[in-house]
Amino acid sequence: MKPKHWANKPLSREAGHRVLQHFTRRHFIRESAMGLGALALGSILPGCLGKKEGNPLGMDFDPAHPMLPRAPHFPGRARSVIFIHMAGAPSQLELFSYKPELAKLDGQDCPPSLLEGKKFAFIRGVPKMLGPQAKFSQHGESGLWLSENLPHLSTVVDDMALLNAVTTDQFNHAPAQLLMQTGTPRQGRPSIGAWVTYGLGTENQNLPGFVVLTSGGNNPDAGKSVWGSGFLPSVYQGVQCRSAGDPVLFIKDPQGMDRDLRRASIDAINKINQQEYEEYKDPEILSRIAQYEMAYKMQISVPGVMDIADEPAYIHEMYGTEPGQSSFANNVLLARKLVEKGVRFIQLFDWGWDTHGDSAGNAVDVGLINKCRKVDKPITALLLDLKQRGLLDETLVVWGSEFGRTPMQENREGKQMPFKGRDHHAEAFSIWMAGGGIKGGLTYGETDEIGYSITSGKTEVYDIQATILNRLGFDHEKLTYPSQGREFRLTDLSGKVIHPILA
Amino acid sequence: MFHFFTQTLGRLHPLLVHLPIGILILAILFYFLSRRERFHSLQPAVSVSLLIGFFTALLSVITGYGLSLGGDYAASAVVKHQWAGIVTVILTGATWYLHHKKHTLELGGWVAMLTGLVLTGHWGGSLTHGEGYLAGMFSPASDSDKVYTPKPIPDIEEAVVYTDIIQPILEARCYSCHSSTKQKGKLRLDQPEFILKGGEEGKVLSPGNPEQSSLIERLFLQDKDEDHMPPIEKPQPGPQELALLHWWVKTGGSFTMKVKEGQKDEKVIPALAFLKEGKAGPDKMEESWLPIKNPSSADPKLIQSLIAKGWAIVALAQGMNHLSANAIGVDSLDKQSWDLLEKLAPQLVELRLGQCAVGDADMAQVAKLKNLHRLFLENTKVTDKGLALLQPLEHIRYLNLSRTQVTPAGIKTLKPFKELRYLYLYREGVNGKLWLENAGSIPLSAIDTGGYKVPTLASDTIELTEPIKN
Repeated sequence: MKPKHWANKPLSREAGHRVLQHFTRRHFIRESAMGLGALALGSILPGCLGKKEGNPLGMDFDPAHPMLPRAPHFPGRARSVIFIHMAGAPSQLELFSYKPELAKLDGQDCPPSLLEGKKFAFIRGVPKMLGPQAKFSQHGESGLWLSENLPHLSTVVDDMALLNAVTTDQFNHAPAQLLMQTGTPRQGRPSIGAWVTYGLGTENQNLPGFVVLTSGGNNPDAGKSVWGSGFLPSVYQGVQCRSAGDPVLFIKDPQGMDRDLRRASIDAINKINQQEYEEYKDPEILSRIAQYEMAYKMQISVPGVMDIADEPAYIHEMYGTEPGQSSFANNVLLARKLVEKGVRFIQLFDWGWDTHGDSAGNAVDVGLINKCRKVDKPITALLLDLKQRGLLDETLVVWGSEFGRTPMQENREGKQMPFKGRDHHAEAFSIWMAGGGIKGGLTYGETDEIGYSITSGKTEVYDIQATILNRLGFDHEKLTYPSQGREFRLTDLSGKVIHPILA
Repeated sequence: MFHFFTQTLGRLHPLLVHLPIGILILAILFYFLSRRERFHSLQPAVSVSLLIGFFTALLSVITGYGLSLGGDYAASAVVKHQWAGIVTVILTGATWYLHHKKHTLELGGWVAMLTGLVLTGHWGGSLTHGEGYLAGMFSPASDSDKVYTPKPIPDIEEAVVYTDIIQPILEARCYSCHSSTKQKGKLRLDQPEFILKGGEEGKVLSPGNPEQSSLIERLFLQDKDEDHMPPIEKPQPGPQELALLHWWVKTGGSFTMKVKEGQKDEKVIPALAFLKEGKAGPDKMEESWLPIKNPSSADPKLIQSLIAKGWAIVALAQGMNHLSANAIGVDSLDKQSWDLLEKLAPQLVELRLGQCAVGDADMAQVAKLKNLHRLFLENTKVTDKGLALLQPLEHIRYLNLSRTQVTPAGIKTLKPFKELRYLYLYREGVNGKLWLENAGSIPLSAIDTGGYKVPTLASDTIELTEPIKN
């Protein structure tokens, strides 16, 4: 049997991965009675040892050091990603998508053509059209349209690529968030941060490669699956940190336990784990050992990096941060600090953008504006601060959500709502990207004159994911992992890189 | 019906034509062979094959007419092929008749039919494969003419963008389907007026708007996108060509503008530089800041030793030997580290020392890493003195000096850095203008002096409880 033959088959490739996960090179040499025989095995499992890809370092995926940096498919433009996810779905019609024609239709019945064959989360019967509840104007040299709700962001539009024709096929929060973050509306697949950390490792071995910070008083509706590792080794899942109090719960040693005792106990646990591993060869045990080691290092490194008190006053002024508080602004500043410290992927979730109009806090002309006021200044500060530190070039900032909102006013159960709100709209919404090899000052994709359907530049969720991976140096079709007998990838069977927005 | 005729039947033409060619040649062969005693038994086959050849030829002519109505081909180029085809059908019929009647002119009929067949086939081939396809067989040079090999343009600034740069690219990449012989999608690109006219889907050029010009946009589509141009089975334009085409439309798509009159962006500058020397440039534009030559691979032992000391060392991409080194996990930069790094100098193109306690003394060591293209010194204690030590690093393209002790006067020492394109200078309390005054003569496409403010607006701190009344 020719080795090339069976190296291509998914099952044997997966078996190869398992072999690789079971034995580190050290095990190979130490434990193999015929060291040379083992090396020969390595040469007939070419795909499995990762050397086939030609990485000169030959250290792709070593389960004992799963976080060591690894080379991408081609030189990337971005080195880290900050993905700002506004959980709940902000209204694109009050922020990014300028629709003067919709204002003229305000209060009129929605034409039946828009409702036929469509499903909405809450709209029933015939809703009324709702004109934009914000004024729009053009900004920057590029003349990008942005609403008055984002006065700060309006000053940096020349660094942003605004995607106004993103579409999804999910109109409920949890599945749509999962689709955006994991490439499928169901639970169980690795999140994009896990894929990226699996692909690239991370530069700072004292910090996690993938950090998650949440704000707005709630976790995203889809729960922690949106930063899960799925079938990837669990070491790649996002580490959720808090911006107030201890950044990670129980990070401090309990009273009466000093650092040496902690070290001794971790050594003892690792020793037992190592014995366990020797017996069962489960690679997850190696992951666990690596995680204990990282946790020990993080006890020192994390409190330092997660403390924003040492930032100068002008930075706090810029971001609008207050040390010790739990806020979106603090999370944004932390994201910048983490990027500086070599963390690969930072996910910020801010909850509370679900503006149905059932209360003032959920109205597009009250609650939405309040939410904007909390995020507009810090996000703008983030872009400018990254820029002046020379980091924006290699940090990809993505601002988005799981879907958008309808041009119709929501009429839950067919009744008039007390406040102005909009229902979930999967067909068209807006996302922007900046830095990390993205062209600034341009709008890509258009919707019809009321913002209901896409007329050009249709961008699927998979296209966003493919583009993020592309900027990091990956061909999204080739960043795969074998599971259940086949290769899986983030973009499943779809995904096109959005070339017009690449710098 | 018309659509069915042109689109479906018409498209069968290139397939069907091979039937009469084969069958008629076989008939000719049978005829001449059967004249000899030994092959006399072939006699009955002559008439049958000739008749079948006649009908397939007729079918070819009909479908061919349908294809010509589709409009992808110039009427002038089709006319010869078309009439030769019709004449061949008539000659085939006539030959059959003469053969059937055992007429004395029969031999002449066979010769005329063969001539018609050859000419029709040749002109048809020229339509599909381009003029001189067959001639290319005898002069291999003419084949490579179609590949884009730009001539050196020494005085690039004076060159006319369209005539000297764009037209040769269009000629190499587009003319085979969009010029005098063929007009796929009813589009011609060989004359300015045709480019402006567009094709069956309307205008292809929107001056100043490359994103709105299908002439440009379709070049950038994914390979597997069916609208991608040129068709994926044809040779594809390289990133330099794409950058030049994009720039031409962005600057207004003028047919008379000179290079010096157009505002240049970061992508077109290297493309123009390559053109000046008559090179097509590297395959991947994004790597263009890298030395084009891949260095020999580094000794893994050196890398392992540095990793053990807390360095993050990684190749820029799989299959590339260029290395990036990051000192982020390094406790102290000892002599051993510098010695190891020096041994990696041929491969080391990126060095990240920000977040790490380095000062002027270390710059003498950095200066030995001659292949560095990107150097990160942000947030370090480096002063003007240290910066002056970096003179040997002639390939520096990116230099991050934000929040260091370097002063505006100090950056004057950066003048000899010919390849410097990105410079970050932010330092709290130093006026941005001071930096720019001193950086004045450094050719930079991006210089950032920072000091940005995000003012707190009155509205930022107000929480609404009801809609704002206008």
